[in-house]
Amino acid sequence: MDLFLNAIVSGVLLGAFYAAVAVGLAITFGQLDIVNIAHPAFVVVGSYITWILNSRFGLDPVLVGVLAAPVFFFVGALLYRIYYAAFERTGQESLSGLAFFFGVMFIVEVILILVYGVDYRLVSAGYLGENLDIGFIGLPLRLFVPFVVASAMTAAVWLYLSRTFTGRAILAVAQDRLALQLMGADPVKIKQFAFGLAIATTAIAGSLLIMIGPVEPSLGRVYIGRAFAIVVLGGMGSIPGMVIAALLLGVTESFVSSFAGPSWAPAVAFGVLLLTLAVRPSGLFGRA
Amino acid sequence: MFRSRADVVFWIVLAAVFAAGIVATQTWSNEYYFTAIYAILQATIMAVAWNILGGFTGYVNFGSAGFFAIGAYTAVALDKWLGLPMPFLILASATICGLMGLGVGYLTLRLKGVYFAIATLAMAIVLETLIVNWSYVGGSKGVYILTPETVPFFKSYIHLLFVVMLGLALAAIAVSRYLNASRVGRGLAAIRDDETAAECTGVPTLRLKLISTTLMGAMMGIAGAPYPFFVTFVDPASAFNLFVAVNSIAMPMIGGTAHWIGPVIGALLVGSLQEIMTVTISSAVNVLIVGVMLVLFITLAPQGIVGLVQKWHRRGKR
Amino acid sequence: MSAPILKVSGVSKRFGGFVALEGIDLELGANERLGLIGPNGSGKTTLINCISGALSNESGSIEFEGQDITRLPPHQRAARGLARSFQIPKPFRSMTVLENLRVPLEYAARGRTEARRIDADAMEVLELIGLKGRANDSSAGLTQVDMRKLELARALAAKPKLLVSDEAMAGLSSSEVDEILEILRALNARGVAVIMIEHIMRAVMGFSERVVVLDAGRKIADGTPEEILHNPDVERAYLGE
Repeated sequence: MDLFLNAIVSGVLLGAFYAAVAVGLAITFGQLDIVNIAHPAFVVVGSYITWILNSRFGLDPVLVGVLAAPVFFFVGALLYRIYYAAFERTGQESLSGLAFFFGVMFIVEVILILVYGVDYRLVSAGYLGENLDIGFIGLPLRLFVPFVVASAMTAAVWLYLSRTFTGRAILAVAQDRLALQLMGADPVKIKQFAFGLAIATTAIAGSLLIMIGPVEPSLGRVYIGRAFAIVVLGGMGSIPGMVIAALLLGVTESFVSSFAGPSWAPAVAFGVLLLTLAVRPSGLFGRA
Repeated sequence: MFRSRADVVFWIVLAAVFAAGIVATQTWSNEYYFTAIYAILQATIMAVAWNILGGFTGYVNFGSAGFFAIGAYTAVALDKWLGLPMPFLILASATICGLMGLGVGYLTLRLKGVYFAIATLAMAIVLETLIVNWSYVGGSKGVYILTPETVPFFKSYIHLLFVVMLGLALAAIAVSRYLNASRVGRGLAAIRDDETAAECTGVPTLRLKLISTTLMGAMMGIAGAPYPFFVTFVDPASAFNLFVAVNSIAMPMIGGTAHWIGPVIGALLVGSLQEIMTVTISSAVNVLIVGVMLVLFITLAPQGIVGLVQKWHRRGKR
Repeated sequence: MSAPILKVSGVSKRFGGFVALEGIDLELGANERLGLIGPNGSGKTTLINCISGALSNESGSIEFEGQDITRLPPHQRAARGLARSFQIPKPFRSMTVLENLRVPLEYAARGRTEARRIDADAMEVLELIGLKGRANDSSAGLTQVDMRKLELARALAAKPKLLVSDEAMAGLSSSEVDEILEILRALNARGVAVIMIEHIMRAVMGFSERVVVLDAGRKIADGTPEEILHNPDVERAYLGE
């Protein structure tokens, strides 16, 4: 029973983190139909930046994430510019875009390997080794702090998208470009902003990732399955749906890990993804 | 088979290359060359196979590593269980991976474009997880393969496998070339250009897609079967290597996807470049180079090298 | 009429809660020219999609030359001689104009074509359509009119017994409309039944022997052009109450 409850708790904590990883993809893939398979690679880059600044200057990981976010925003905007010029403007199939981001993902991963090697990297912060005990449930702070920050960030993004003009423009640009143009907003600028925002979230998600556990360059790959599974299962274009899917995935993985062994964990995300695509591609809450 | 002069030239070149390969095993002393060229031959089969579904039919497969690895592990499992000789192992891998391809073919009914690509990636990872948890073939630790000490005709088992691979690669190229110019190939091109219109002009799209995916799967399985015996140690990390997947996509895209010779050019060019880089700098740089080349070609020359050559040819005519 | 070439009985099609077609009955004679009209959204293209097999109808049946084709996939219907052109042209962009026609000749028309004559047959169709000079041009760079013609040409290359032309003339100039009409008349003269979906009234009324009118998924009229023009239900459908 103890194991069972702990599995649920860590599942929920992890699930919230997964939502933070996937929220950027929910924007780029769910809203804008840009298949940014390199999204998790940027999260890993965020982790490495956190590691560097944490080990060099002793800065708190979350602080690093927040500071790095604006830089990531500009990188994202620039990357979108290239993508737009090469693919969207010429009306290429999104498959070329997918291969493009596949190449980008590869380049990012290899540069990390070349510069930092394949060793695992960790961060240290005073509170990370401790537990928050509530009754007989132990909440490791290295999971709980990311849970709090991740939830806050996801909520902030969701509020931004649903309440502000630019945010709503992002939600609208996928559905009706023309109407958006008639409203005086430039679709390309909106998409650029959205893409920048999505990559900015990876900075923070990355800082959380390295708090949860050690990071090495290829760690992004297993998150491809998780992020895409969450976005697809939740339903393209639905952020609340994505959050629910993230929690479901986190809990499922946690159970599989506890009762079948951690080596089965990657199969959960990708298996869920495959199943969703095969059976109900519109996801739980998505537009058809 | 011999419909035109181009056919005759093709078969002569093929026979010459094969003969040269056999001669090389008798005359070259540096074993490295065989390893390097084997890698290029393997990449060629994978690129040619990928292109049948990707370039000819228009469905991008991100799970090439899955087919290759299942081909490798089928050979490993059957070798361990029954000790079958190589030809049977290759046949078995072709069959299993062909069936996998058939399954993937049915997947195309539900998923198009990007969703299909993502599903194939997911499939490969799920397969990898299954293998990692299958202790009979060594699980995540991997397994060592025993190879015969002496072989008929050749100085070593490596030489034998090299010639086998050379033959398989040439056969794959011949099949791809035949397909490209055949009625089925034209049907596949119609599916690639517009599947709905193809169906309405009488092309049996499901049947052709199944042929395409099954052929691709079988070829990739064939590429994978000799692999464990060539390297004598295989583990999921090396068999399901993402590098294999990226190469199988990048090489046809760089060479040119619409024409049968595109993946061959891509494999020869990129493969050679990679071997040179591995020797002179490091193998990690290889991966970087493939990534960069893929991105460059996709953005600047989406029709690949074949496309560039065709453009210059047309410009020259004016 | 003598045995109809096409018999649509009680065909219904829904998309979720939306009923696109309700109990459509339709018959077409072997060499007949039928016009299919109706306001936008009345279900004309949906009906054509059901007939050609691109969509499957929930209920009702479709018979072609006396055989039930309701469960057949589109490519088999095409092989039996049922061809359609698309409202928005869908050329095979990586191929030349001529190569576009090879596909239907090698597939849909395979039983009716000798392999050696494929290119010759293709050129014949191009001649009829007026695209002969463009045979070796890439199909991706054609003008609007030529793309429409290619769309029709591809349907003709399938050597059909029944051709459905889906708004082949939309947006064309008056003389271009006449060109298309000529092609369809010539085709009909060779014994091919034609269903024409069109909004250009003078074209439909002038071309058709019989006209069927759809409105909101139902058939509201079926008669000669003369009868249709004076039908109050039809007037109401187009102009409202």
